[in-house]
Amino acid sequence: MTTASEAVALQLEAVDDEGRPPSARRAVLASWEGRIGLVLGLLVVLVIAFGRFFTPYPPNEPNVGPPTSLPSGSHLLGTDDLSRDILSRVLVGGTVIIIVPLIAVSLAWLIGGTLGMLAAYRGGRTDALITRVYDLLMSLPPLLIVLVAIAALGTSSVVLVLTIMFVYLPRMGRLVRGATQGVITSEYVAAAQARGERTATILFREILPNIMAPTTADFALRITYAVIFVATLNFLGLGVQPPRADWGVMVAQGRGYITLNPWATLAPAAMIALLSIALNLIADALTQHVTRGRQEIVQL
Amino acid sequence: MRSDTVLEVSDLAVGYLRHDGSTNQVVSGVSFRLERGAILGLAGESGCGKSTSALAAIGYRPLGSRIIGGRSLLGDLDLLALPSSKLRDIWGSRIAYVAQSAALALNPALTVGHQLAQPLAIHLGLRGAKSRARQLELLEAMGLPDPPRALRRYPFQFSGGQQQRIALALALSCKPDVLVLDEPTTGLDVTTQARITELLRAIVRELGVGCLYVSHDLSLLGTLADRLAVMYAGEIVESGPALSVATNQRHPYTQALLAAVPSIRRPRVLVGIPGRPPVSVVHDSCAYVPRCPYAQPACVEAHPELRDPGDGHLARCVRLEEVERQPSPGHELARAHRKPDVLLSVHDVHCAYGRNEVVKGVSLDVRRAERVGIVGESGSGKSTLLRAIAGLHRPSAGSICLRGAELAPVAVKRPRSVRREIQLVFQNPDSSLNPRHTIFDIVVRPIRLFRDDVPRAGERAVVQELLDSVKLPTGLLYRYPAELSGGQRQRVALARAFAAQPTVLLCDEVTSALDVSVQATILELIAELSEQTETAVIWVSHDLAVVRTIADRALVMREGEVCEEGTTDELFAAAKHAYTQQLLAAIPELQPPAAVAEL
Amino acid sequence: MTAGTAVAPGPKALGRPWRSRRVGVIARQVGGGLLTLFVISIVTFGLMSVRTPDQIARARFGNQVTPAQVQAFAQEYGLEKPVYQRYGTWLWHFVQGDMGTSYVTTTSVASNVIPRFKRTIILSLVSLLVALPLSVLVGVFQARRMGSPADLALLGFSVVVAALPEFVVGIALLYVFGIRLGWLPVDSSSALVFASSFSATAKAYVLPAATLVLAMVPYIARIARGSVREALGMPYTQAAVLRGLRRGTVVWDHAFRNAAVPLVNAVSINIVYLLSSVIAVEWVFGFPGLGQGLVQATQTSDAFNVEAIALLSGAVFIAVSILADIAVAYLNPRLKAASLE
Repeated sequence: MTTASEAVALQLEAVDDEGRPPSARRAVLASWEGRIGLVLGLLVVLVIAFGRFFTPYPPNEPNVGPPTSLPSGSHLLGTDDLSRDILSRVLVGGTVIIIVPLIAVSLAWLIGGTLGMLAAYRGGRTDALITRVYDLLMSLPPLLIVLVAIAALGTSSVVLVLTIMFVYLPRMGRLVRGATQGVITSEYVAAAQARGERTATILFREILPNIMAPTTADFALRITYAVIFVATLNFLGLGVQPPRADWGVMVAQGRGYITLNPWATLAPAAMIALLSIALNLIADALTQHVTRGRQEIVQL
Repeated sequence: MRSDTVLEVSDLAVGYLRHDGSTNQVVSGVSFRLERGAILGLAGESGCGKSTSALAAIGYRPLGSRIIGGRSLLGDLDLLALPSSKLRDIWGSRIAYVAQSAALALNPALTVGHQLAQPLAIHLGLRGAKSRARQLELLEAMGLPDPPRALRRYPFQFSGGQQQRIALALALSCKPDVLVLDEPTTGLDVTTQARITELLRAIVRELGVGCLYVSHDLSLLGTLADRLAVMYAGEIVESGPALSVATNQRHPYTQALLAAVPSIRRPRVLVGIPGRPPVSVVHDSCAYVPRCPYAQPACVEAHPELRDPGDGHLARCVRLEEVERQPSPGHELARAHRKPDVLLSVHDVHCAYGRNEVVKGVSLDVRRAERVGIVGESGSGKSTLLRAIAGLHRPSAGSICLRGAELAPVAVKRPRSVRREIQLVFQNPDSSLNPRHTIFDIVVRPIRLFRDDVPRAGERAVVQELLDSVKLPTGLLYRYPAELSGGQRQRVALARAFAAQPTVLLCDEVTSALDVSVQATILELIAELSEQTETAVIWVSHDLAVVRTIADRALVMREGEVCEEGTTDELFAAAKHAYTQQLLAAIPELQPPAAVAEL
Repeated sequence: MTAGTAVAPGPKALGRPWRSRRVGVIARQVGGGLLTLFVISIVTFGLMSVRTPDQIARARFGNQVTPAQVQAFAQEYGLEKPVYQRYGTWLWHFVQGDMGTSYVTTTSVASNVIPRFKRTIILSLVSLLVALPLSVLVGVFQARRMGSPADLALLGFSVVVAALPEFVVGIALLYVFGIRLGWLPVDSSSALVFASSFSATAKAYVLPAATLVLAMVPYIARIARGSVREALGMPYTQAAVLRGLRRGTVVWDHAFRNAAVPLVNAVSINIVYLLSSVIAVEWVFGFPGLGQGLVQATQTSDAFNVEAIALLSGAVFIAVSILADIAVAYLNPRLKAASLE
């Protein structure tokens, strides 16, 4: 039984719940994907950050045991062809694949996003110029260009960061431009223009808060892609060079003696998988939050 | 059951599943009967359960909804008890449904011919030349020009009115017994709406279908339908012969609803309904009690039943006999006291989007504290003119002056005092308030920009005062716009405009997204505030009755030009221009209550 | 107005017959593609020319190279000439079909690249032909049973698989089917490089193709699921249901037709990424295709091979994008409608 006053109270509650603008933190914590992703991600990040202090053997030291041995009490994941301890190498091998994407994607986001917002707000010639450049950069097949750049300039972290940044800059820029264009037609922007607000005020006070959700989701997604990208380059022998320990490099090298000690390949592969699954789940939670909305399915 | 009854719905109850698994009942005890050749109007404001009832009555159950009880008899078949495989044989052949927006309900990826062929093939077994002949016949009957060509075209290549005709053709393709229409003319221009409803009336009589017409528009239903049922909080609160319900209300809600409908016959008379309707069905008292002027202890103690005093005009009110005898409420809006001096003058303004000129030389003088209306159908250039005055659209020619001083075409270039004096209120309350700002942030912005007399420390008090003046409940200061109802948001937009202490308030279709009862309260508020603060108002709307109610003087615009201008009293009583006359004729108007009083 | 002029379809162009406008649009796309190829060739050649003759000679002779050897080497390949001249000569020869001789391996570039090109094309085509219909079926299935255990299981599976780098998936398949079960070859190269029976050749394609399919299906199926779900929630679908149409008609004729436009759009935008995974997949299985060739050439800084492969694969990417764009234009009713006017 519902009384009139209860019904009114119910209605206020219902309104309160959906009215709050979404925040990234709550978006991730509210869904099971987000929570699993966060836990997994934290685990992998802890390993990357503090694993170096818990290595049972020096990770690059050869001949610490028998070569390509299976897991045993003294070597929990066995050893590789140079008799290095796999566990020690796994504990230190994740730095590059998280640091390089973070720097590259952040740079791409800041530069590409600012230009994209400006392009959308200014319109006209500014817009035409910026989108033309973005389109040109986007027409180049990304992996191809990165490989060519590595072939020409060699493998270094700086080359990796810069090339990955150039791959994502136009794509993130176009997304921000599109999101901004979607917001610009809103009447609250017109209201601000009619008040005579300055361009910076309109961009950062009126528009930015409303495009944060899609751009944050996009940022998370790009980080995920970039992690896979860097791991793949390392696997192909085009990123981190041996003897430095890196998960991608270890997978490639372990493939040669996968029949002797599969853990030399599977353990670092699993670490890469965990990291990218975690990041993907978080990106997913953010994306779903952006596109959320009551979707009605018809009775078929 | 009478022989000409085609669908009989009794005691329908529908609920929606909440996230926690409980059911939110939104429809309760709805009973009605559809008869051959007659139209039953189902009226109510948004959220009253009218569309849900209509869909449930034909057996359609959207995901998350649950039929709690009731029967819906088509002949001797109970639609609510049938599995969906059986319902599919009935839908489209014996029961047809026309959704609110034909633009959305017609599949954009399929040609009109393709869509027409499908039900013909499945229900009547018509294929090839026979199917084509029937398709042409249908489009012809709906008055579409060049049917053979229309069959090859896609829905989006037609105008809104034509799309609705195609949707009707689809619905009638298999000669149904029952036709259910959900707001079929909402969003169309008045003249188009008038033509569609005329066609519909002819079809219903000719084909003898039983028709259920769902609409929020009481005056439209009052003139179109044979019988009328009014819903409130998921229940039918009044039902009877359309004319009787429309002229002689027996439920306080219906009475208030009609009093809130602006009319071209009753200048400046209007009254809104305070408060908001409940979201679920109320079982233990009268659902309307918190808003009812007739409420007495008996209303709270028990849930009233639909009662028939003997003439087939029912109402769910313990005091229906008294309500009926009460004169319809309604009082005159605060009058504008216009001053002789010209405040804003627009001279020969032209505006264009690219090469497409949408305003072609409009001149207009607005005096201090005057309320001017600008009426026109979509595409008439009325909104663009308003944007030009606000400095949001650069006119291609002409001048706009405030107290004789010419204004810069773009708002940023105008001096601060001018930006303060001209304030704009928009149509859509969803988009005119930044969803990421609190109500305080929104209202305080113009105060910070324009009001040097308000110190930082005093801002809160001034904002609260403004919110009080637009009659918002307290405690909303740090809420976000999405937490408020549409009417409340529009009040916030008004508070923001009046925060700047303007001399000219530009209003662009401010009430067209709102329910009539809310619209009435907003109109009352604007009239009151503009009168108190001696603010001039330019009111742009497609709705002639609203303009008649709020404005002293009006311009009629068509295709970028002013075709008639005058005081609203003259304009609406004796329109000279053919276009104005056509617009006025297209408005569904109920018999004035005065005529009833004479009986 | 003549047919085939490459202009933007403005208001005037709408009056033209569709066929000529379509030719115009395609011509414009092909023109744009050629321009992109030109840009790729300049970027590639420019980047590869950053290296000095000394560095290049080291790639050939090793680190003990003498200055005299470098000079002779530079003379032989004309490295002392300015970059634009070398670029001109290279491009002129390239468009005539002469891809030159590698600095590093001293063998003909064409003999290295052309067989690889053929194998990669077959591999990509086979994978696409399996992946596209499979993704659509899975996506539509999920959309119709949104929220059911089957949908959630498939969703969880696709989230995990889509998150994995292709080489990890490849290694996992290789470990299970190549090593543990021993059904399929661990290394594709022997069967493909040397003449062998059809079944051996076919077997060499299975694991790389399966990895590519696994890389593509979760991605495309997810877009299909989303767009079909959205179309199922649209008023036109509800209207179709209420016209009593059969389930299949509602799903495929009404919902899917509308969902196909954003689906093909998304696929066409991302197909270049999806096909890029062929590089890592080839490397995992030792598949002697373009991708493997590109990685080898990159590792050894083999300029002519890098340039040739970049241009060839660039051409493939552009051709695929143009085909996808044409598919989008064909599916979009608003564009198709113009043909009837």
